[in-house]
Amino acid sequence: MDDKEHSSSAVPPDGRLPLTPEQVCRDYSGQVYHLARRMLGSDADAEDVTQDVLLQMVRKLGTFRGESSFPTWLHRVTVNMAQAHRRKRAAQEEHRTRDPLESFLDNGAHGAPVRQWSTPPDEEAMDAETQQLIEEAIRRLPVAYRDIFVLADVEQLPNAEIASIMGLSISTVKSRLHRARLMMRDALAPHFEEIAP
Amino acid sequence: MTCRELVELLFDYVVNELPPTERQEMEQHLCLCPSCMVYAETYRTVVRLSRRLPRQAAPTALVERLQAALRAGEPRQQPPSGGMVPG
Repeated sequence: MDDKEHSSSAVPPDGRLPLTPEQVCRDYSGQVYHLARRMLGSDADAEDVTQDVLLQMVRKLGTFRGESSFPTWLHRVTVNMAQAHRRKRAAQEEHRTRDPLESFLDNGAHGAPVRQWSTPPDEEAMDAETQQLIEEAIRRLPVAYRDIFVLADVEQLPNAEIASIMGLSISTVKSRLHRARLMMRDALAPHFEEIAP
Repeated sequence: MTCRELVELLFDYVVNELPPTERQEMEQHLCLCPSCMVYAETYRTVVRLSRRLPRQAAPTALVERLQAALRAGEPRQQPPSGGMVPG
């Protein structure tokens, strides 16, 4: 590939026509916004990060060498920008979430009743209330767990890719993801548990 | 196996990555412990619901602003491909 000719555009993995800045904006703004919104829990913050990410992407289109796939590159940039944005926020609310494993008794038994959940069937579209409950639970996760949960269980990225994006080992990703899922379970249980007769 | 130990192994259990011995122990425990059976099911439900969250589109106004910013930043001369010329 001639670097001069293509220095202003990046080639997506399928080898189709190079991306132009307008294509980048049109085709990737939704994906970036979606991820940023889940990580940051705020429309305004997500918009700021989306703008920063896309403008950076356009500036760096010429330097994309294709060592990793374009979507991975995009995820990595978005995660880094969102994390940097979070660090800059002065009054960042720190959510202290109880360790789910602390609820167990000394003998290893459950410390509280575990009740069945009543949730909408998969065949139906998710209603707004359920969506709101889940998003709020995600927003209240400690950031170290929230980022991995969003990448794994919302974006559905493989653990190896998450490890690469976050600069963590796969075992750390799995450990934090598991802990995040337990926290989510505890956060959602009061809303979904069936009322005991 | 205690209930806590079972919960700690749920991550690998739900993706069928537990060694056979541990898997067997878990399944024996699940047969005898209704609480853990429900707990495991709700763990799977968390994953299932999260994966069903609808994809949020970028606000139209944001996309339009970005498009305008990109157009304003484009140089006067455009190559045939429509991409940016090297600086």
